[in-house]
Amino acid sequence: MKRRELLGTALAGAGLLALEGARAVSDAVAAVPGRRGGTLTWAYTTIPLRLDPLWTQARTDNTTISNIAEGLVRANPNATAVEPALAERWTVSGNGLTYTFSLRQGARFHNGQPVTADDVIASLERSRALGVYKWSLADVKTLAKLNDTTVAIVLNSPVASILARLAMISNAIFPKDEVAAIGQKEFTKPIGTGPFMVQEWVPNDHLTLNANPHYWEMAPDGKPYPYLDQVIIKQVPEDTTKVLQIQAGDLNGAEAIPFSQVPALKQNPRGQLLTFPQQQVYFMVIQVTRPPFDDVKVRQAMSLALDRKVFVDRATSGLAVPANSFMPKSGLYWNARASLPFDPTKAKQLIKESKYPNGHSGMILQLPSGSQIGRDNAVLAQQMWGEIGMQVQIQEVDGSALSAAWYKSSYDAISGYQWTNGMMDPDQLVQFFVVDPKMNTGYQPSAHAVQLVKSAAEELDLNKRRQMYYEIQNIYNGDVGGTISLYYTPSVNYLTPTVKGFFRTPLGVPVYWRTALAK
Amino acid sequence: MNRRGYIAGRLGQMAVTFAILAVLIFYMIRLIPGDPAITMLGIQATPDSVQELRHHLGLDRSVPVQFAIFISGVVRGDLGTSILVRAPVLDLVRRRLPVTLFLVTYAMILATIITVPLGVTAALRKDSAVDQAIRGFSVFWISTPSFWVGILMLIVFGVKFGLFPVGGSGRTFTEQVYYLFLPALTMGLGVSAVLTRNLRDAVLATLSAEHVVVARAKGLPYRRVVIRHVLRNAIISTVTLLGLYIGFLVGGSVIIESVFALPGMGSEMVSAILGRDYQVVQGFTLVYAVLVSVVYLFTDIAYALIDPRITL
Repeated sequence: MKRRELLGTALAGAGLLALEGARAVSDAVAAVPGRRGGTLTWAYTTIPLRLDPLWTQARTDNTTISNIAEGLVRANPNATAVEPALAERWTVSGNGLTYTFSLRQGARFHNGQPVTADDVIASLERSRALGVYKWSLADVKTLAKLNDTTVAIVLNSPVASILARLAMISNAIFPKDEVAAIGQKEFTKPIGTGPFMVQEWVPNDHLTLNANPHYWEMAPDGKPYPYLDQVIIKQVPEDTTKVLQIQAGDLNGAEAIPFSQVPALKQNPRGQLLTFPQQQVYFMVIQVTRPPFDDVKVRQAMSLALDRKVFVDRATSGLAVPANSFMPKSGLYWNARASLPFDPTKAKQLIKESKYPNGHSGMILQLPSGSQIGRDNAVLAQQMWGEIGMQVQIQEVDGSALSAAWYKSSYDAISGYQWTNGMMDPDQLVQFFVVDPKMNTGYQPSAHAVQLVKSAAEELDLNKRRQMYYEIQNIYNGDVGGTISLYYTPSVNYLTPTVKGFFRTPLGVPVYWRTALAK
Repeated sequence: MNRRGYIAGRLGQMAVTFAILAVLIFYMIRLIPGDPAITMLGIQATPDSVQELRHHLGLDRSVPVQFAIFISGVVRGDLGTSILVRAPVLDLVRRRLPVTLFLVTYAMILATIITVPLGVTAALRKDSAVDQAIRGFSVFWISTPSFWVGILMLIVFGVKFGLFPVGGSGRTFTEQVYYLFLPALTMGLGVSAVLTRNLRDAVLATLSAEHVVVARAKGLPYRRVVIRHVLRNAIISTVTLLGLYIGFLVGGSVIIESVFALPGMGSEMVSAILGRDYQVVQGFTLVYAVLVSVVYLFTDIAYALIDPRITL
């Protein structure tokens, strides 16, 4: 493609992303939903264990930090595109290697200092050198300050997901003095630019967040977000206790309500039940190098034998959506035409043609002890696999011991594991599932598939990229790579009727700053 | 041997016990399969991120080096930093120990209030209907598992009748007394079941002792005889048993704290073991050891105080 055309496409692509982003935002925010002020109390099974985004992969930690700190860009409310955050606008060079960001005027840290290019450079140098998300900036050649309010990021080679990576909370911007002072240690009171500031954090007990009075984003009433004065996050390990406390009005809301409780709660006028789609998929992990999974026909049969609608009804009270791909449904480039059908007749036929024509027994399906959903999925799978002659034993194992066994690839199959996107781009997900068995499944993708993944990571033309990911999904479904996808689960939240405007993004971020209490 | 010498000797013994315990717990927790870094990273663990996190947490140092760091910390009074929570272990102890101690003390007081009248009555009315009922009560509470009892208490008194809160602990002293009543009662009932039998047997044995017969023959009021001459002697073995039980209770509060969602040492210990938070498990075990040892020391001293025949 000629350079001018490429520049045009890249700019158009970036522009389209921004426009789509803006439209989604304005759709989500119609008017002020309630009154200003007040305290929202929220219950978590485990409150954030860490507040430094470089050192945690826990969804609870990262989504909470997203209320405290921000990066140059952030995922839009529908997590389908990236929108401006600390960068007001950006341009991309013709070859797609240089991104130049203009910082937002008037954005300030919680300590009152304005955000400058030096802070951006210091923060990104830190997240490039340290932590469990180092990989996100591995392709960056240089971080350059052009002036106090302009930063240029130069890549070694095109990275289609670079904006999505910059939107990850691990690339949030902190004051350069804080970055210099913290060194290799972890922030315990992170000073970000977000709508809330850390007031008090008592590990395993509660986290108190106060409103940031100088937040840059304006609400529809002309004053800045957030509407609330304070958010208190309390640790309540028992699900039943959470629900009872909400119904008594002692708490305003909680997530992770067990699916089995949902039908009863829906009827109850003492609370409101809100579900939000998540970029999340539950699956069975299978060790492809061990019998009976070492024959692709067996794997295909095991997938065909599963009636995912039954899983959805029994394990999630009908709230989830049957999966058709290893990629989550609300995710970018999910292939609506990919399929994981239910066909037990064909499954039996495939078994007859496989290495184990008379079936197989002795395979052990493990699940982390205490995981209700793992247990439900395992029992259903055992039933359905039994119908096609594959006998399975279920074993509950201590969660930590199971992780260690999974890490060493010494397991047959595991139930109860799920993937939640931390980034609104399929790049990371696809690396984990398809390439270089990062899922420790022993799956060996074809050279063609590996090449597709690599090309898709670098392809800047959105349509071409989309087609590549569609093809990757079809290949994975055909091979039945190391996982058998089951269903996509939503986030189930239970709140008092006085809470208005609450929203959780598909990446799991609770948008506390657009939440208000009723007048 | 005088009292001071005795205590000094005991303290010396305790130090040796702690040293052995430190070594044991340090190595034992590392024998369990499961790694804190892999557990923390979950399904997104890759060799790179695991290595990065292990280095960050100081877990990539050799085990003997980690042990040396741990011991040198303990000697200085520093129990290390929690792997999961990044707070000093001593802070966690400071915050959580009061809840556990309150619970255990409360449970013991309730146990005493239940045990003494029941044990004495059962003995004095040996083989009567009352005695049978009390012995039956004992057997019942010994055989039921405490977590089941706890959940039952919560459902009946917390949810159904709304008399007590559904889990959690209070802020002020009065609130604590209210919030911790059900969990303390659950623990207390279990303990009193054993102690009641013990006290009953001890009272029965003492009733037929020579000095009691003489006191009765002399015409002393029955009540005075019971309390001054019988109970004071009979209570010795019960006090010893009670002392042993405190040690058991402090460690066993784990189950009760989990059921009632109490922010005590026990519930923290459970999370730490499941998450392989080595520092917390090591530190808390040592704190438990100190507590239990001190309690045993006091029990022995109390024993000597009650019974003038006993010298330390």
